[in-house]
Amino acid sequence: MLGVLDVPRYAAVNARVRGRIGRLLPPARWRILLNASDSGEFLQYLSGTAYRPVLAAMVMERPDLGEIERRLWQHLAQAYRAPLPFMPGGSKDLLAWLWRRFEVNNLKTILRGVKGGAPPAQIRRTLVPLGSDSELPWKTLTDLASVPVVVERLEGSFYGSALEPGLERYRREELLFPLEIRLDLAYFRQLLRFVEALRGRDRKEAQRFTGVMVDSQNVSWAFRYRIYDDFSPEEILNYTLRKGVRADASVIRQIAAGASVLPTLQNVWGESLPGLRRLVGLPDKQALLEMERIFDRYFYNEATETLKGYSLHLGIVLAYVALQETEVKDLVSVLEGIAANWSPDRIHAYRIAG
Amino acid sequence: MRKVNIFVSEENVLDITIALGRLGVLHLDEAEVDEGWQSSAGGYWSEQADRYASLERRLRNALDTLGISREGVEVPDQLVPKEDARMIEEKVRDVEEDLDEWQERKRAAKRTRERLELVVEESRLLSPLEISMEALQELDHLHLAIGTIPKEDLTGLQMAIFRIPFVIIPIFERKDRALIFAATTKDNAAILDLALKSAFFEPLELPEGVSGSPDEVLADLEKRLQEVEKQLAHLEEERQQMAEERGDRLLEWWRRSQGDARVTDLIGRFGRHGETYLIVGWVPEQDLDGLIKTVSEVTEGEADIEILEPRPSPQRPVPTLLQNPPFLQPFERIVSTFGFPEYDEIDPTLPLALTFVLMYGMMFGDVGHGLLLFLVGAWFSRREGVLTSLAPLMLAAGASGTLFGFLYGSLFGREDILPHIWLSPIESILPILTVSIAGGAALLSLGFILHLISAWQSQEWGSFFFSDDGLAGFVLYLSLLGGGVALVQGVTFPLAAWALLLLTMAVLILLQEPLSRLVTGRRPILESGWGTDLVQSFFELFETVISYFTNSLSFVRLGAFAIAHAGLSQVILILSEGSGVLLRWLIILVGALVIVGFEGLIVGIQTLRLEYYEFFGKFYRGGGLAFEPFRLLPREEA
Repeated sequence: MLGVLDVPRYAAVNARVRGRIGRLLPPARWRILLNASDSGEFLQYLSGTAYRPVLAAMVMERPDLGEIERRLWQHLAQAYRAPLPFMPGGSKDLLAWLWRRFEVNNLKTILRGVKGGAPPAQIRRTLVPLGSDSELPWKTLTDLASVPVVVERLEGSFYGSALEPGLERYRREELLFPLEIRLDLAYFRQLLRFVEALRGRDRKEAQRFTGVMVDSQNVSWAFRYRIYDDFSPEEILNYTLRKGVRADASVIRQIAAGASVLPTLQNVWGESLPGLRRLVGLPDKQALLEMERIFDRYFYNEATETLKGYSLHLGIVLAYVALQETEVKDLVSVLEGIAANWSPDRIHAYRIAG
Repeated sequence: MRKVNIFVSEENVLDITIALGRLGVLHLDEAEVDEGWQSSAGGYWSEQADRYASLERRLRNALDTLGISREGVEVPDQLVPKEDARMIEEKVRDVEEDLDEWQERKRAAKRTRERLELVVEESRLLSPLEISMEALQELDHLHLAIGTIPKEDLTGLQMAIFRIPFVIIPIFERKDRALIFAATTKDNAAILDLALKSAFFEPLELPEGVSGSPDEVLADLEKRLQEVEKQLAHLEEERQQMAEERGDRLLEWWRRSQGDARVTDLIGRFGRHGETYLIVGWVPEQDLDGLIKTVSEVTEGEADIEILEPRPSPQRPVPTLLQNPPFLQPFERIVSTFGFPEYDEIDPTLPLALTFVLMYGMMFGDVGHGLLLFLVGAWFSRREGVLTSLAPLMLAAGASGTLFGFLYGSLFGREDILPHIWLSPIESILPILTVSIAGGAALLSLGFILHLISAWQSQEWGSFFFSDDGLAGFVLYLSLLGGGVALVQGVTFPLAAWALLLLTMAVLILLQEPLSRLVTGRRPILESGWGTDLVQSFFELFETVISYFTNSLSFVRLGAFAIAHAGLSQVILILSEGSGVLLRWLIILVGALVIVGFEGLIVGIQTLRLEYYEFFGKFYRGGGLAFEPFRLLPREEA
């Protein structure tokens, strides 16, 4: 149930979000981007859009692909922050936590860089710039000499608490897996807590977007551990979330016991996922790759549908960030397609919103 | 806005940066430089900036570790970035060494305490058994593991083990970890161990030198625990002493580092050639004289200042400084929510303000409800909070609603108290809907005109003549509108000429891309061949024509909401009839609050929708850069 004071807040959020939706790339701009001859031209075309502020500092002639991609992700991270000032309590917490995904990814990059002995400046260049929105001391973290020191430096923060239980194992095994999985599990558990804390329509909307995101990630982990890492069922269960929105421990146990991708997705989501038929007859390894596209398409469809309806709820914000994320993923696909000298039609086929 | 290039010698660059930072009128831009120049001084200054930023962070950490508040510390009057670093670094290093050593002792003491407490709990549980702790690890048939796991993983661990018989007994919880005993048969030891490992289980071993029966172990551990507690208390005393002795100096160094970091970072971004620096930026015309005066004074006339006209381009945007009168500033926020105007773009704040107020009033026309909204706005304007910024909009919307209330003759939904000056929406449904669409057509026409002005100013001739929002589109829209009105009114007009006009405009829009390229000299005229371009353009034209209709009809909501408002108000009055005096007024009061709160809000959203989609969509890009002058201190503190 929407509180009385939440209404004006959501009205303000709605106005801001609608304004930003108007700045998503129109079809004509996509056609131009698809026809760009190289990444320089792509960047030139993109600079005339809402992406200009994040691309402003880049060299236009021979831009570095990785740098462009990180700038695009930076734009997405900013999109998550934009509605925050107006949002009511629980929804605000959820959106702010969704934004923290960029911090989690940056932390993983630092852990990998520090473990691999990369120079601090090189690690810094691979981080998504989060500016003053993030309170973590990124420069200090990249300057640190070893993984345990990075974890100790994070002491007192959510990330420090998440990583600390994996530190002893890291010291023994010298593998980043225990730390990375601790970080991911802690992040997603907290995300689910924020979803659970919501009420009424906001909660339903959060389950529709964030809940499906968490479940799909959980199912994907379980399949990967079984197919690529050959983990025992106990390990698979311990390295996944035991409670999702729809995919709980019983689903993970079935996967651990050998269930295939298609029946699992049908079992959990029924026919609500678009394009499930594409998985018929595919071996699990290929089906797993296809699964990501199916969920991307699901979020895009749900977002466009949500924006057609009633506006004063969290769904509008989640729909907007889903559309923005789709756009950024599509831009990355286009950029990589151009770099690989693919034809516009071939690149277009890889677009989620195409 | 004017672009200024300030050429200044190395000798003066520091002073001028500090002076400009204090003046706060220059929006810094990247230097566009000729051969031989560096576009950014970088080098020494960037290194210094990194050095100070790092110092600032280290000092902040030190202050936080010592529990010293950073609130209300003044910036030192004199900043000496070339010398401060060395002095501060030496001192900070000393402080850090002491703090690191202190922290390490504290961490070690805490770890020891944690471990001892866990072993104490383990020993207490086992004390009734009269066997040594070591013997527990060598049982014949049972595999026993004693250790801790993260508390939140305990339930998951128990659910994860489903193939073997096992028992897990949690015996003690401390902070985020639980001490557990886990056991299974010897045959299944490998499965249990793997499950425990994946649940981040840490085996608990006895501290060095401790052995014997659980009771003996317990007595030994209690003594060790007391010693650790004493150590921790002593460490806390040490911290307080350090904070008292070093607090003031640390705070002064911290602020100094912050100021120096800002100055050196800025200098690092200036252009440079040998010992000459180039400061490039944008200054509002009215602040130009002040800037020149400051530069001359600081450099004693030794700096050269070049003043240039702005030449905006996508790669080098000119910042925009909106200069609307104070009463329009709340509407600037609505504009910037959509996007900040580009430098050569029309600032839509004034038309938005006028049309926003007008459309809001038309949908929310009621003297009583309008006044109520006005009062709510007045109340919010006197309070601090998230809604304070909306107060001016509420005041304007409330005033407009009141004015339209007089035009409609409506007072809290009652239309029998005040005479209507114009019409009563609920009794004149067709006229008010017609006026709404006509008003919408007028607003859309204004949108077309603003697009034409904007395209003219930026010399985008293709867009000016051939785009669906340009001249061809405008003529097509007016022709369709005029034809439609004439048909409805039964006015005869030259049908063939009208059809020819429509066709001509449609063809111009259809061919807008090649025609634009033709008139602007861009080549090739066709990017992907006639077939593809024409098919694509045809569907776009179809969409354009449909959108002319839908955009115009969208404004029907102006009248529809006015009718709905009157209807809703009357429903409340009907509900209140037949009740006692108290209940009647309660229903009227609650009804009025609901109308002002919810309907007022929905009308606001609908108004914004009309502004953003129908009006702005015609002419406004909103991809501009806001003018943000650099200041010595971070913006929020300046």
